[in-house]
Amino acid sequence: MSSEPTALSPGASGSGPVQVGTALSIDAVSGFRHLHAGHCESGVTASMFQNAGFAITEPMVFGIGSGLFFSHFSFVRVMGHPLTTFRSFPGRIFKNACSRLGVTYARETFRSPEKGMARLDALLAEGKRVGLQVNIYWLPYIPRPMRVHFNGHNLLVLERRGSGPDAVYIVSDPVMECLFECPVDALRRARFSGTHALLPRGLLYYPTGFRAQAVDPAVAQADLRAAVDKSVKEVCHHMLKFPAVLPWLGVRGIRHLGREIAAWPTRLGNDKAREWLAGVVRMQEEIGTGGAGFRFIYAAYLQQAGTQLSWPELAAMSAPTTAAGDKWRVFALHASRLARGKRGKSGEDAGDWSALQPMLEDVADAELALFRDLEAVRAARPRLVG
Amino acid sequence: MKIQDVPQDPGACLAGHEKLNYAVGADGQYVGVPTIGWEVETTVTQVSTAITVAQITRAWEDARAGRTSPLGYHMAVVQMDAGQLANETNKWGWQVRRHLKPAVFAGLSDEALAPYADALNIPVAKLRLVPDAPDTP
Repeated sequence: MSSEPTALSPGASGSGPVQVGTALSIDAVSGFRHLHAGHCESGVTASMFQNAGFAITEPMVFGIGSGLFFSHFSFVRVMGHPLTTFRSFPGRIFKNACSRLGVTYARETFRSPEKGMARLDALLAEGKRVGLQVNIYWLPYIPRPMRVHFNGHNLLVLERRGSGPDAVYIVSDPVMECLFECPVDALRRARFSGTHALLPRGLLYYPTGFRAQAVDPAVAQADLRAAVDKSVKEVCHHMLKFPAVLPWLGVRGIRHLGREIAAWPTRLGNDKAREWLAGVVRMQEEIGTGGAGFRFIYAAYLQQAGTQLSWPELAAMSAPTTAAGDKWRVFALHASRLARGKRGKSGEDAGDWSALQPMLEDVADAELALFRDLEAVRAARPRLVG
Repeated sequence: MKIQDVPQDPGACLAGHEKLNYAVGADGQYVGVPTIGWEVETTVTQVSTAITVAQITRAWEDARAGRTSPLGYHMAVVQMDAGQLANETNKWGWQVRRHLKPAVFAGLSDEALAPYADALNIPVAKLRLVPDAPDTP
């Protein structure tokens, strides 16, 4: 409890001195390169792939994993807020990226914390780097305002140092810019203490084998073509094709959120409405999305995939994706001012609040056109050249 | 978003750390750009933190005034409610809510408090006390 989290300095190794708050430490563990990423799960996956010699960027992992989504469930409560998410279900990015790129993997959950920790130690002793899904609240190195009981955070464990109660794990948390030490007890809690949906149950995962991508460019190109096709198809399907009886999902969900937000002040009162609005913006920006609720990282994916596949039509879809992201950022800016509520002149709040729904309608229109165009580009299926 | 538009607003939210945004460079290519924070994120985090602080402070006042047991305060510090704590300790919600009553709580043995202390990550001795000031973010 008394142990403060410490960031490793670049030269720190073994039980050597550690410095607090040192920001540069991508090579604090020899043979491992820390990846600073926009998002936790795509970051962990890309980091695993890169460190195994498979050169792939975080946006490519996110895109091939079909990470982009939107849904707003007005009737599901997470930490007292309705659930708003800009991405697919936790775990999907890793599983999709692995299966579409021919990477085999293992995922294990545990009923007993002791067994879960022992298994982690055994894998680390084999030299494996292990991905974990954890409750972010118990991670001591996360800035306290960001520590909430959210079970869907991902990180990579590199090694265990020391023994007994003073032992620490060296973790590579891709949303942070440096490596950290995490005490054993804190990591055990983070893995096994979760009280909402998505209980991690000590989930750990790691790739077990890579097909020829890393060595044979021709195979890589063919694999990539198929992977991109599948991933774009899935994202377009999820954003556009859920039936109207499920108004919470995809582009329709954005309009649903707009209607809900418009009703919050009368239904909940101003204070609660502001609190919930702040919650939406946190899910869009603060939790680590690369900006604009993953829209920018997805735009980067379309550009990189289009370039690698010599598919200019696909790369060109990056621009409208960026434009949709920019609309989300404008919404976030406006919403944050309303959520703060105090600095506006009196009476200004109520008038401004009504601007939120048209903003989200505008976002929904942009994304409707975007994903229809993207699906059309994908369906045109140009033959792979070279 | 262009690289020059990536916000670099100092704020308490990231505590000196950096996160990564994706933005378009002058050549039109996307790159990852580290950022120390965005005013918008700081604002919404402050809104959420203020609510957490208010909850902890209210729980502290209730415990100090003897309206609830110290368990109510320590539960609020780790941002749990009775349902969550029951889940963590394999109890029923009504059992936890009963232990929020000062008179019932005072009669509990160390053994009975141990599961709570473990779930809340504090020693049993500390669980019995309410500090002089609330521990808020």
